[in-house]
Amino acid sequence: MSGVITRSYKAGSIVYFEGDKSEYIYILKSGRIRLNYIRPESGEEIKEDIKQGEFFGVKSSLGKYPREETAQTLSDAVVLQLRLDDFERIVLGNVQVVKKMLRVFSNQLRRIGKAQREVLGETTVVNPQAELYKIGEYYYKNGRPEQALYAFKKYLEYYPNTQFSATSMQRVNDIQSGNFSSASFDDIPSALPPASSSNDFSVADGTSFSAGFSAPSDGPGDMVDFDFDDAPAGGHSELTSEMDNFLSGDDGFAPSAPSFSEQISEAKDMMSAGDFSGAMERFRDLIDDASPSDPTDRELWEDAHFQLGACYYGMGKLKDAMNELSLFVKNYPQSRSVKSAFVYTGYVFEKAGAKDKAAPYYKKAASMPPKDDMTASAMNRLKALGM
Amino acid sequence: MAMMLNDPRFIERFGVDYAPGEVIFCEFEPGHDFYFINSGKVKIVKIINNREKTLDMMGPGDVFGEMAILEEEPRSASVIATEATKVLKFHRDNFDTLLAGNPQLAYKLLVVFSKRIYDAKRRLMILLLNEPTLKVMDVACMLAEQDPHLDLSGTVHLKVNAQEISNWAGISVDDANKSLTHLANLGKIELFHDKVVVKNIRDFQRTVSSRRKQMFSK
Repeated sequence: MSGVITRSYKAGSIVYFEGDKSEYIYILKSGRIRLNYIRPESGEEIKEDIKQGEFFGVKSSLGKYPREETAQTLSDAVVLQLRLDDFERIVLGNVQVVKKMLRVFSNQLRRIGKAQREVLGETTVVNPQAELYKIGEYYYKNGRPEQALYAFKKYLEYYPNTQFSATSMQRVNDIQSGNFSSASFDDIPSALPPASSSNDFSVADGTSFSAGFSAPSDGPGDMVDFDFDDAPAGGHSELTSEMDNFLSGDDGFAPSAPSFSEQISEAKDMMSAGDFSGAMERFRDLIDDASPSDPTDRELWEDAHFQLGACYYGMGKLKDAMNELSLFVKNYPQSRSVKSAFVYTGYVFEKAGAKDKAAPYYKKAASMPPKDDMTASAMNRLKALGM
Repeated sequence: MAMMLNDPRFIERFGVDYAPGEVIFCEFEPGHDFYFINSGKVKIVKIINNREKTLDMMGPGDVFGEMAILEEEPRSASVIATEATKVLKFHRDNFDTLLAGNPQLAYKLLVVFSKRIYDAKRRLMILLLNEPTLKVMDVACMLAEQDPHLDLSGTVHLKVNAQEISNWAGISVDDANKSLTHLANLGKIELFHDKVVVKNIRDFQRTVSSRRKQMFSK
């Protein structure tokens, strides 16, 4: 670390002033240093003492903006002065330090976001549900069906059976059937050139969102992206089943009947959207309806049996998942998806708290050719389990 | 540990491909993932006053959607691929594991968050001013400060319109227009349809800073 310089300061010296531009980051080696700054939301003067061994001047240096505080020594002090690349080298070797800093940074960002919301007042609170629909409408009306389709589909995914479901459904059908009013193509606004401000992406964050918004909760495993509150086990409303239809492409609007593989991939899309029960129904239908002879379809058909287990896992029904998975391995031992089934069996055990039972399945999966993403998943889990 | 973000197995596991025009995520959609661009290009857009505004363009090595790491808030903007793009998509639950294996990513996030904090603070300082005209002046200061190529001692050209200014300042477009006209009448700025020319941005900075101090001394 050739670039690191040791600097000694007398008591009462200034290491840097607020407003200075500098790329240096410091570590306090000995002595006392105090940071003085004014909290923007209150005008309050804050004094913060640096502990020995602590970094300071990090944010402004990394973000390349002027110092926000003045750093002054309270006693004779020795600091290490680092350039950015020195700092990078140090932190790359010590992820714990980065994690700690990220935690501090994210707390600051939260606090500022909260202050912004308070200043802007409650009047700007918006309903993300309605806003998501409006985004779809914007793209729809401006002749951009691809972007509109995405927004409407997401709307239906997150907010089935709500205010704009029926319209969203209609839009999706219109777009997918090509029944998309060409009149709306006339007025395509050209996107504005990028603003000179390059980092306002998240500055806009937190200024206009309702604090009361509750997103779908995360599932614990990395397979589970979203949970639906309502598991439409038996009683499908008209809209829900209509949605199933559109998701399956079997809605009568489609120009031609979707192929077996298309239907399979649609069911898989439902899974990745978090609709495990819906996906499972599709898989069951596909399994029942066909026993394809085409080898590719046959493979997908066999794989669909495995997917049933994956769906149960996604729904958190571990026992059912285990049953399906072992049934699948027993009935289709030659299927390519056996490896996936082993990995999922591992997941199930892990989720049930039986790590020791999970490991052998991961090991088995990891040893099976070819090396693919399932191999990687198995190896990752083994690593995580410390094996 | 070596940089894993370029490891083919890693890319295979977390890589997702997008075609030009494809939406990666949409404004107001709940967000659980953050992204690292492996190849290609994306634009970050927001619908503001019934217009799609491009906030930023990003390319290989850039990180986006990182706010999902911090909190479950709806996305504040949409991200759309502008060419064939491969991203690595990480779920927030994997954050700790990821950091442990990818100090490079961790470092990148530190840089990204540093910038976000500064921008957010800067915005907050604008919002806290007590007059629309002062807010508009401070938006100009902020935009000027953000551009490293600008010489702040001379006349400054800012590519910005009233709508964008009103959005930054947290005021109505009407108020923004009134303030801009007022400043133009005073000869402090010139207005064009796609830009604002500030004659003396240092003067703006001084005015804003002294008013800010007065605000707190009361």
